[in-house]
Amino acid sequence: MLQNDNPDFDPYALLKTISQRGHCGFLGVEYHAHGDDWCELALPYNPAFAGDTSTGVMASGPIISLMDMVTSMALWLKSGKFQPQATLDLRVDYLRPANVGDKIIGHGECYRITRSIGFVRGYAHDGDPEHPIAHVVGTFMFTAVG
Amino acid sequence: MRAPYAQSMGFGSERDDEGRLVLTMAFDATKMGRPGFLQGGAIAGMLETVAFMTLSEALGDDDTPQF
Repeated sequence: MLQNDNPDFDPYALLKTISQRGHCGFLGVEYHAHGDDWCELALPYNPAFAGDTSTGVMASGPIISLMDMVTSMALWLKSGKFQPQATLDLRVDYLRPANVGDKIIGHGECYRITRSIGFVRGYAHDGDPEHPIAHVVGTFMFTAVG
Repeated sequence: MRAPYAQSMGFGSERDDEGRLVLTMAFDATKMGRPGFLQGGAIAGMLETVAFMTLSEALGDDDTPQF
C-alpha cells in the first residue's frame, strides 16, 4: 500500500538520501510503506548484526534503531515536514526473539503532535503483525522550537 | 567481544580504575541519525551490550544469559 497524498514529506526520498549515509544505511533499513500518519520500514536479516553467534538471533540494537527511525518518519508524515527532533523517550517492550533469517518490519504511527512534542507508538514483526517481536511507545521533542 | 553485532558496531572494551567494564564506540557516519547527531538506537544498542556483558560476567561462564 503506497499513498502519495503527503507531497511535503517523502519518507522514501529521505531514506534514499540523508539516512543512507547514516546508521539506518549501515543497518540496511529499507522503505516498506506509508500513509498520512504512519510509516513502515524493513530491516533485512543480517548475521553481522546477530546478538549471539550460537542462535543467530538479531540483536535488539538494530530493532531499536529501526523503531526510532520509523516512528520519526510517522511524525514527519503527520506534521507534513521534516523537522529536527531529539528522542526524549522510547520505551521498547521486547516480546520475543525475531525469527532467524526473516526480514523485520517496523510499523510506526504518530497519534498526537503539540507545539514541541510528538507522541508515537508502533510495533515490529517478522511476517505476522498479530505476532509482534516488540511494541514501542515514545515521545520526540522538536529541537528547533524556541 | 563475541557478539557479531558488537563487532560490526566496532565497540571497544576497557576497564576503569575499579575494574569495571567500560564500552567505547567511535562516533562516525555509520552511527548517525540526523547529520551530526548520534542515532538513538546506536546508543541504546551500545548500552544494552554493556549491560548484557556486565551481567554475563557477574554470572560467570557457566550461566550465560540468553536473549
